[in-house]
Amino acid sequence: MTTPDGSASRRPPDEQELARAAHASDALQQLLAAAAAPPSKAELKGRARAIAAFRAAYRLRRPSHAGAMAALDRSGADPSLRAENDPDARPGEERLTAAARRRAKLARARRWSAAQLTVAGAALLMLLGATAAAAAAGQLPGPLRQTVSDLFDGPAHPGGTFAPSTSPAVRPLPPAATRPAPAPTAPASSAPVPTAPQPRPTGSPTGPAGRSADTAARLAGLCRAYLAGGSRPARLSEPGFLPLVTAAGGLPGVEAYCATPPATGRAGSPPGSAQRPQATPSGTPDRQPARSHRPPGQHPAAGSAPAHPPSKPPVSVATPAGRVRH
Amino acid sequence: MLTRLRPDDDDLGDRRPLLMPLRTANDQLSAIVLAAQAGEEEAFSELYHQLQPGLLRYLSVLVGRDAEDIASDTWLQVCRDLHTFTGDGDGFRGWVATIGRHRGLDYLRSRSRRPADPAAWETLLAVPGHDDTAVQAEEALSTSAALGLIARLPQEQAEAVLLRNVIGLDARSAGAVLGKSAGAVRTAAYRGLKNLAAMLEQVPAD
Repeated sequence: MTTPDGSASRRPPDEQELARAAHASDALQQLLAAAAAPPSKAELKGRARAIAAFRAAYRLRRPSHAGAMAALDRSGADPSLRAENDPDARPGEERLTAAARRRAKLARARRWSAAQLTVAGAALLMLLGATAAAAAAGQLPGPLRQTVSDLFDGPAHPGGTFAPSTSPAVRPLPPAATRPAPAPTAPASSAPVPTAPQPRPTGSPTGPAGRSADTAARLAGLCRAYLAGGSRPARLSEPGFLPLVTAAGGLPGVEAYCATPPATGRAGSPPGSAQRPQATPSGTPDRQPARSHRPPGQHPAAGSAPAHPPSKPPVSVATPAGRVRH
Repeated sequence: MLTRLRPDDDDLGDRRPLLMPLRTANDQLSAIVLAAQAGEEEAFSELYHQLQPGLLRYLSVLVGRDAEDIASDTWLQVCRDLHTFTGDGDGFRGWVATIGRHRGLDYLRSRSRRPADPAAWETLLAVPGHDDTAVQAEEALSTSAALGLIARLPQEQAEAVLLRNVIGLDARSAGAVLGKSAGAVRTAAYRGLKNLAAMLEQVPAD
């Protein structure tokens, strides 16, 4: 091809020159306009498939709110979900590499020393145990109890399906209608093993029994530490006391809480009673198994293409949990 | 529903190219991206609606007749990795285009076929000969005929023109997609436009 403008080969043209070039003739303007014309229906016929893929991806992702995703990222359990591990996703774009750099930085920050991790894991376990126990004992205020119960119930069913089924379910793309929902309405599990949200397994007992006994001891220890330190409320703002504060239902309650030894008092609820009082936090309305809400006949040619606005069900139906949690 | 998504940030500069009917405002697109990342299916549908045409057109010039499959694969990956994306609406366009381009180039490698074979294009689109195509251009040019002409450009120029004028990226973002400097993209786009104008002028005016 020719290079009509010799100078352009040495110095890149600026935007004005480009705009002039684009408007050089009516024919060229028409060509560019035609190339960027509004889409035809045929160009959008893959919409149903794309949406099905989106739905599948987010059905898997939805239960894993921040905690689980962080755990996933940290453990690298499923590389297929991580763009930076995917050669195809390695972008040349500056903004993208910037994002990748941010992520790498985050990842580095997450790579704590083993000791730090152990401490953090232990603290989290204590917190989980304490809040569960407190929730079971009915000591948490309503909203907090709901949160706790969300926290513990959430991973119990959807979280269980998360890691193992992720990559296989994302890849294949049978028609949306025929694809089974990965985990339709798991019944509220009676075995509250909160494996997903924990950043890493620390080898400590994770069953409710082990946890609550363990926790009671830890809470007792915290109480001793607090009381030994002269019961200065300011100390309670230290992160280490968070489990205690949580278990006590707040800063003001710590004094009274520690007056009753936790091991024999409230936190020492019998094993098994650590199950949350409200068994259906957010799970139930979450998923609509085998949702076939595409109205037929909207796009006769496009088969199962989901119809556009008119007959589409409200989005809120589609992603309640996502909205709640983000 | 999209009105609800109107964002606060209002930073879209003047550096956005001019004509794009396919373009929505950067800030609006940013909000839609965020909603989709939060799992809003309708927001994702809107993303598809806005970006798929440009993507498909770009890919059809890049890989030819299998563009639809490549676009479909691209959306699969977009869904899979959407939660990892950070950036604004324009950044998202570039992100999707980058994924599409990688998919397309992988495909071409696997098929070891030369990209954008113009002959394949003419068969595909049932576009008449070169001159006839240009004649059509003088009248109302169809999208596929326009793409058929663009596909005659050297790949570098065709990609630059498509990313800028069809997908709506600025030179910098297009350069990021292509792994080039913004200046290199502008040069390639400039040459492409000049060549297109020259092709169109080969038709004697009525």
